[in-house]
Amino acid sequence: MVCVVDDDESLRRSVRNLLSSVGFRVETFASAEEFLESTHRADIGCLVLDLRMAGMNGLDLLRHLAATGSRIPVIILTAHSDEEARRQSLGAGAVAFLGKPFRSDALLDAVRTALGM
Amino acid sequence: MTTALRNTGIEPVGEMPWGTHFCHFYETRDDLLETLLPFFKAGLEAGEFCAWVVSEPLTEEEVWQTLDRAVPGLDRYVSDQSIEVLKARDVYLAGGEIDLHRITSNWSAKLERALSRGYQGIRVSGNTAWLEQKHWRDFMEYEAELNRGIGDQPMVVLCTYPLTTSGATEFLDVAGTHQFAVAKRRGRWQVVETPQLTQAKAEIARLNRDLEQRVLERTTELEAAIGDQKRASEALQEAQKALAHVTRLTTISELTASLAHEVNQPLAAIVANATASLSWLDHTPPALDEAVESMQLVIRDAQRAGDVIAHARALVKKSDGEKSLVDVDQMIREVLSLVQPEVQKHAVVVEEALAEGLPPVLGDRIRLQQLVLNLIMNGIDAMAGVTARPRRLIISCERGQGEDGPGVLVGVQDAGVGAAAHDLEKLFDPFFTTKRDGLGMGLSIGRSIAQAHGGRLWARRNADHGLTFHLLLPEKSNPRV
Repeated sequence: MVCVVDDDESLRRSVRNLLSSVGFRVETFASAEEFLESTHRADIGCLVLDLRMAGMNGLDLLRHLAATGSRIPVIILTAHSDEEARRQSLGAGAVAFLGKPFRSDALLDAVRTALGM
Repeated sequence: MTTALRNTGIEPVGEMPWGTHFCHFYETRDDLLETLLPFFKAGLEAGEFCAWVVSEPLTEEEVWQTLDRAVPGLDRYVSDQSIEVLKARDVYLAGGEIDLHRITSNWSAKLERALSRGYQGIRVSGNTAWLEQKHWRDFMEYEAELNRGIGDQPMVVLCTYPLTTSGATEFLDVAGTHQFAVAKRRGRWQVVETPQLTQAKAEIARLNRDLEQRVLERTTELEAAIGDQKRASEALQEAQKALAHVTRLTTISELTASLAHEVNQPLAAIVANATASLSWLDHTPPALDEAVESMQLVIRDAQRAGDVIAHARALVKKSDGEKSLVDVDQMIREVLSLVQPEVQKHAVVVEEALAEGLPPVLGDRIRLQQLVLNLIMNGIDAMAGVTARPRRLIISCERGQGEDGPGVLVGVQDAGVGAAAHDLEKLFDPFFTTKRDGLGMGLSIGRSIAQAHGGRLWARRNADHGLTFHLLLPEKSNPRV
């Protein structure tokens, strides 16, 4: 299953649409906190994560996951795709960094790679 | 006393002010008439009371006859008693002596009566051919007294002396007791002025020239000043417009990253949904419902991106100064939607307390948006270093009461670093800034925008932390708008 954490509703729906149209099972969350509260984390094959969000931001969640020994591959999807953000994200363990707007096949490729497909 | 000049009717004398006392040396009876007829004609026509004191070579009867020929409509002047013809001996020599006090009192009484009857003043001519040597000294005393006292009276007095009987001594006496003398000899006029009069006339001429010159200079200065002021005012307005635009662009450039985010977000969704739609159609059989739903989302997000750009363009656009009805709460919501990414970036929590159904204000929407945008960005900036408490920004709008009537009151309350009480007004000074890279023009321009709308912009310290900026805009129905 692919989890999508983004505080933008239309983006959550579009990524869910894109991934489900090619057969992935998708679950979406509006915030990092909402994601951390979800109960079935074991089922997660990969996480598509926004960086800039109210409350806990994407980088904080990424670091939190790394600190708690999570092995979920994380793909960063952000509209603030500057070099500093890329460096920090990859440094904190993200497997891919995509700027918005992204190419659909780039996201699909990143998800497939993350899932080992 | 009127300061208008009196036409003497005598060609070489022309116009003289009230208080003129002069003499005429005549050779013949005709000389005398040629001078006195136009003298009195001019006086009667100018609304003056006239007194002609006659002695030889003229009689009262002759005077009336010649006046009748020389002055059109004399009957009217006679019937309303505008002119009297008196015997010199009755006037000057009553009781056989020249009584200076009695003569001057008589003239004063005549003047007073004439003024009370609505005349501008009195015009007198007295002939002195009757004067005998034994009265000469007394009469000269009278002339000297008249010469001293006439200056502030609405009187013009012309004394006539026969040239043939005047010796050098008499001539000097007469010239010394009059402001000036005129004579007509063999058809040619001569004017003899006393040194004082020559000097006074020269002084008056000089003062007049000076005055004219000063009026001219002052007029030129004023015209130049008015021109300068107009140009300066136009230049200032242009500069203010340009500065407001620059400040707005500066704010916008601070917002550029946020704007990119605002546009990139729907663009990313569009691309993803469009791809998804194609994928759904590629299914066997095609998943039409899902494809349609995705396409609907494409349309929605495309509109959202368009709205963001339209708002941003409205803010960057130079104002044409045109006023329209503005719903303040709606205008604030538009600005808030634009700064949303900036709000998030700085972890600011925005609380909206926007009353609905407020009366619209008549205003320049773009400039009002710029003002509110500045207040909000200032609030966000003021809280950038705050970590010990929530970065809360409260935007309110409600009915307010100004000095000149009801209005809409906007409040932007931050929990930032605040300002000292004595700095509150300085915040609105041009180039006053607490930001490292701020222009210091935002609040200054903000206040001028508020004032241009007949409104006010001011700051208050909050009880706990930070500042609240208040913007009061008069309602459209307010007569100041």
